[in-house]
Amino acid sequence: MAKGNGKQASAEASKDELLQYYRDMLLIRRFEERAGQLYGMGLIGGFCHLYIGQEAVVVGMQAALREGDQVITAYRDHGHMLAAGMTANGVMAELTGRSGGYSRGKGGSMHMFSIEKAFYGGHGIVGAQVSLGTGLAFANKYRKDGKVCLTYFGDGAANQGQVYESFNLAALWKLPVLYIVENNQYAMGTSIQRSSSETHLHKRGVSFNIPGEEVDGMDVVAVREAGKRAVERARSGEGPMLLEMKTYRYRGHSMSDPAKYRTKEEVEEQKAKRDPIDHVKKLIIDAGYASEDELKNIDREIRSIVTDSATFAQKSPEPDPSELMTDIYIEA
Amino acid sequence: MTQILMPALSPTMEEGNLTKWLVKVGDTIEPGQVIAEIETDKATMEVEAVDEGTVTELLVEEGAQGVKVNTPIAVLSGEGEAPAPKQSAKQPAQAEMRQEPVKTARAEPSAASVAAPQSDPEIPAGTQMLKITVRDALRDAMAEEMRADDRVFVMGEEVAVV
Ligand SMILES: Cc1ncc(C[n+]2csc(CCOP(=O)(O)OP(=O)(O)O)c2C)c(N)n1
Ligand SMILES: [Mg+2]
Repeated sequence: MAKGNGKQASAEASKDELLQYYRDMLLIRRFEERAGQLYGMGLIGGFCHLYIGQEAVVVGMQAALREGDQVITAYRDHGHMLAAGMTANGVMAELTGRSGGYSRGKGGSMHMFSIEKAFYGGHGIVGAQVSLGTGLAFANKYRKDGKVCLTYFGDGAANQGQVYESFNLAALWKLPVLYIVENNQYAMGTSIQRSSSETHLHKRGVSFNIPGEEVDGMDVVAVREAGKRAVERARSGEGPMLLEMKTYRYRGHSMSDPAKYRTKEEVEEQKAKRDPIDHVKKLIIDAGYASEDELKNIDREIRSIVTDSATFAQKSPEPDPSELMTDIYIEA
Repeated sequence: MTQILMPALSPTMEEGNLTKWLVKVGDTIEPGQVIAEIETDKATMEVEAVDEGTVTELLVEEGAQGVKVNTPIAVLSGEGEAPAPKQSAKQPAQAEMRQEPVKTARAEPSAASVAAPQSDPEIPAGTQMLKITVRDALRDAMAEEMRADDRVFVMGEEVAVV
């Protein structure tokens, strides 16, 4: 098996798997670039946090899941939704606040859900999704339905108190939850070195008896393998694990962040040496699974899906004023 | 042919200066590549390409001041060109639409004036009323705050006062 970028050898992945990962990661990247463009055209109101650079995390983790397993995350959520199988049209139309969006245009970037795809949001309060994800896992255990809940949070969120209250109960009750900290090294403009006394975030579960593991979050196959082990463990009733994904966000915290807190060289180096999509591409080419031309065809397909979603997101009507008070409560 | 438009890099940006071109006519560019630097009254930011192709025209000169958001600044052709539209299989036939500068919510709040609600004592008589979206109303209000007080700026998603 080919190695990428002089990294440690990836675990084995088949041709079909690698091509699928390439496709899924590329969809996220192209989608996010297009979202950035629509934002620049004034078509996206409010917040818009792009996931560019971190694609291998969600794509790798999704490959470790079974249908019905849940996903919950923070506001940097477009990639999680696409990886969960939500449509580019529905997500993009929500970004532009149109009725064809997942929250019928009333939620926007941070507030989308899909019961069908077991995606539980999109949460703007840093760290809050950790308690909610733990609650979902509690319900899974109570119902004995065999589902596992993936709970994502950031390195910044890792310093929030409710994360540790959740850890305690999840370990105590051996809940089927997996904690995935996406350590992209910054929380808005604050680097992890400036904010955290223990920067190896996978160690943060130790005092709760939650085993942790550091994972190269730029290597989709490494992510999948770590994910599989942890999901397996959680599903079999042994309780949570904490996976620390070492990753990097290429763009600013949100669209209007000029990112003065890090150097251009640092960003360029990450892009050049660790890019998750280039990594898979190299695995595919080196193994002879596809040629550059065949990959170009995939690029084109992805581009057309994304272009269509942008078209849809501009043509779908804005929600009717009569919708103002709908979708607030759910009928029990 | 694809036009690259002057982007709004914050909800309140209406125009900016194009301080630097990082590409020239004839260059091929790819998605994610930084093609220009622009400057607003609050910050300098990079503009990344979204489409791939060859730069055929730069419509705005380096150093240009006060370029309005959504003004075409460059033209691109090639690769990114209408990829043989086989999309119909996936999606309900959407009329083909490359990214023409869509008329956005940002456009002038059309002349759709509406009659003032007569009963509100806080609104001085004769005030002209406009119908705009909530999004535009928020954006304009923020922009007005920022113009009125230079300690007000937008950072990430928070509106902050130093
Ligand atoms: C409780 C709370 N405090 C502060 C904020 C403001 N805020 C929004 S995002 C963010 C940084 C979080 O960074 P991290 O968890 O590393 O996630 P990333 O943005 O890197 O994905 C902060 C402080 C918030 N939304 N909620
Ligand atoms: Mg972070």
